[in-house]
Amino acid sequence: MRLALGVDVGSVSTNLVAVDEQGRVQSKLYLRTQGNPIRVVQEGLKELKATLPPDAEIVACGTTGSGRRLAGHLLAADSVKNEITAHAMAALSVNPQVRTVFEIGGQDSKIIILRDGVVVDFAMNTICAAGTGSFLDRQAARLGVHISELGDLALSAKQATRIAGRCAVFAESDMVHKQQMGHPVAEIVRGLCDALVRNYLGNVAKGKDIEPPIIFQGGVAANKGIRQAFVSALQQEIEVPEHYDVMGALGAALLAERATVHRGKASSWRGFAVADADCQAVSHDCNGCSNCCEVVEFRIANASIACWGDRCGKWSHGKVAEVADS
Amino acid sequence: MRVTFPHMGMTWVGVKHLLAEVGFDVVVPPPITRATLELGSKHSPEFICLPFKVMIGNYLQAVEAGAEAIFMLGGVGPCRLGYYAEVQREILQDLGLQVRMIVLERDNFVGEIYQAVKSIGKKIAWHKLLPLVRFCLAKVAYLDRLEAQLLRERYGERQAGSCSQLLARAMQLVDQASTWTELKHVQKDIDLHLQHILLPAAAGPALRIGIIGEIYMLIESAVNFGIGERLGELGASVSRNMYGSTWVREHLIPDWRAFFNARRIARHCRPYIGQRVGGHGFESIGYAVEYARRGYDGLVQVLPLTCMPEIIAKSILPTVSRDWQIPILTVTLDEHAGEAGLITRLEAFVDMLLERKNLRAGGKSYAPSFGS
Repeated sequence: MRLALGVDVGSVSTNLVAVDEQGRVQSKLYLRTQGNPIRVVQEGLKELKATLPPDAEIVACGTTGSGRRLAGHLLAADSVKNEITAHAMAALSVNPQVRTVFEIGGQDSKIIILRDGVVVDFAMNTICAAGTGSFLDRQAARLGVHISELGDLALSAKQATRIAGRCAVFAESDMVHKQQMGHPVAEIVRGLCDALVRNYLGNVAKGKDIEPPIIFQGGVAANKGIRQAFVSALQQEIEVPEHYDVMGALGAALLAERATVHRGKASSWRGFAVADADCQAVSHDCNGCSNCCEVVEFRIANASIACWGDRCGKWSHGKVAEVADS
Repeated sequence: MRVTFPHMGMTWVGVKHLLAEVGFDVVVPPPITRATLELGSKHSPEFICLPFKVMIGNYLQAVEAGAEAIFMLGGVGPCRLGYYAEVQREILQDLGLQVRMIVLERDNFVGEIYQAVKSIGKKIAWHKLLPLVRFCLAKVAYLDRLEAQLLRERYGERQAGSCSQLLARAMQLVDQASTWTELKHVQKDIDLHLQHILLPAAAGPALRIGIIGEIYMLIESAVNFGIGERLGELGASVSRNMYGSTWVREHLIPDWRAFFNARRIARHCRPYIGQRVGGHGFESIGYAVEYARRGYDGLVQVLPLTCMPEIIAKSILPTVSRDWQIPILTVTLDEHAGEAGLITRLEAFVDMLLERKNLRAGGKSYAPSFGS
């Protein structure tokens, strides 16, 4: 079975997806990054391999997410693409007619506007993380509710308490205030969902032409309260795809497939063996000039694979050539 | 008297030569690094724009290197820059630094320099002044032309990073050149190198992108994360509407070409904005239309956080974008800006423009073979 592998290394979660030739997700993993992207990708590979049929063959490998570069070097990926393109690609594979994509992840949220199957506009949250997964996580923990129950709890409330959603700090102090005033937890949670959606539509999605079909993806799409808040704010249907939580990885897999199989090229990926290899990233401050760049060097089994982080190119361009020569 | 001045891209090459030739002992502030930014931010009001903070950083580092006086531009109009010199003077005073601030207002530009020169017991040789200013301007103008060419053609460099290295080398050589002949030699030398690092431009760029916005953020690549260079590395041919020497031509020295150019840009603005709004907000809109007319694929607007003129432009640019069917990405930067987010946006923007262009040329949209 020929499969395309997609890896999305995000701030909070790392997702792996294997897509078959029909574009179906054969296997998916949703793991917590927990500050160690290299290890989590390696462990993810082992886990993923165990779920695949014995005749599985990876013919393309792509990475995305804020750790795309690191993961790209680790896997020798065929495509290393930004999250916007990956999410747009995944949304198109679910619904080729899609015109609006909402994506709310662990630390960022984005809106992507598509027309005729092409991205025409996008925006990402710029300043504040209010309304992203990390903030919901934190509030759920503070209220003693498991994050997976937050949505149901919000829906159980008959009305919403009004919460200031502009900023994570203000939202939190407002929630504490409302709770001390005696508002029930369910209503506060529903108010929180409304506030986050209001914040998203007023900041990230400001000035964008939101037209149906709308797809809502990213980890936060699991939250029924947020979904409901979107529906009532926009008075429109919102589609949440089956694999909403791994759409970035799905997009990365499809982009990798486009870069290899589609163009008749062979994949450059290292294979599952890399899961057991000794991989390290070491960083140091370069003293070559006054920029004092923090240079990261990535090594597999003590061989230098790549360097990045320098402005002048001394390391990023030089080191790789050195390795190629040796 | 050891004098210094704030950095702004490569303009230091010309300013240094000018000040040194009229008799000052010049201290060029150390190149802008993260340390400069941190130092400047620490001693600046929080919601002032990034250029102000970097300038404070420049002053402090220059004073540490021995500077006793600072040349700074004044100005009038809605942009806060006009008052920066005064505020900065107060800040330096509060820090207890014995440093003199020499503010060059447009109406007494020469007068202030004359007084300063007089105060160190020297005299300006007036008959030499005009050729000197021309030479200094020529130095900066050459570097600006080279940078513009490299921005346009970086997509075709044989090895990533070689264009930026060449520009750094050119800056060094031009700085050392003290006569017209030497400057000519430098130009020849650099042109020769240029042919080696660029591939023959047969294929043409995948995209053409225009960069507009606030002048300091456009010119000073140390604070804009090298947006132009990055777009070039992503395969785009980049044009920028603002360089240090253009500013001088438009503001200080009568220049016919600059005059007619400004008139054309003002005409472009007419449907969108009726008056100047300070800084280069007006030009940002005018050049957005200009680039759109020339068939560019996309535009990037760069501004420092809290920049009023560019915020006005930002609110009008979506209309330009709709009218001319040209995508515009706005990038707001300050000392807290993260590189990762910017790179993601630039990459996504370039991807978007490529797909758009591909579709317009009759190609199929995103078409993987898996699942279709």
